[in-house]
Amino acid sequence: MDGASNLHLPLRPPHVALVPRNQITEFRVLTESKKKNKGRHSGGKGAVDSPKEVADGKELFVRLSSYENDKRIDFINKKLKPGTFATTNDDYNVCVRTSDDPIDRYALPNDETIKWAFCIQPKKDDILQRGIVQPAFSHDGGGIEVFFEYGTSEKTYLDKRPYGK
Amino acid sequence: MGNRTKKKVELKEEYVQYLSELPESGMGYQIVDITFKDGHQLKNRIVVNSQFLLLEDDENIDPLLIDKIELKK
Repeated sequence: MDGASNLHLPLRPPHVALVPRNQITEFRVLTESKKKNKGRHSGGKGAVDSPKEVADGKELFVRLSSYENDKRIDFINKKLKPGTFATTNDDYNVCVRTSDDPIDRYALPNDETIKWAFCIQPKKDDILQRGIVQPAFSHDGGGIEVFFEYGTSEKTYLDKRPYGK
Repeated sequence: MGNRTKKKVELKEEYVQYLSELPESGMGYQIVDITFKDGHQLKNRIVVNSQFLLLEDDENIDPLLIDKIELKK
């Protein structure tokens, strides 16, 4: 232990700095049961850090919301506005089928009940990025998230339905 | 950032329109810095649906006193 007592860092700036809670990258480990029973994914990258791809014109995506008047959907032109997140229809179906908690799966900041599912079918060549929801707000994430940096083409918003229906 | 439904306050329509044209931080929410007319600032706050600012339990904010909202990069 010789000299060990001299190796401490003083608890004052610049050795220690306060970091806002929402800037902390949370380290959480998905339980095996969530991965296995709820179809959650671990690790990987979030959507904005994932490569861009083009839609095939067939795949369906779902945007979940507590609000029927979701502000990210252009209801007049029936499209997503630029910079909008959604998930895949497949991941949404897994979430519903396994009775998973969408708040935890998609690491949402507020625990308001998800009431609405908005169905989107991007046209061929609409640009998207898909990744894995990273832990945040004390939630595990692990769902699939899709980011539409440029939004979607007109007439790609198909319908809305109550969550889980 | 706990697991509960938080208090919220609705932003003025001009800010709702402004935020709804800017990118989200995740599905249904944006992280913003807010400046009030008296110069006071709130940083790294969450707005859901480009419409509602989430508040702490002990906070009361008059949205009419907000001077500027900036999206956190």
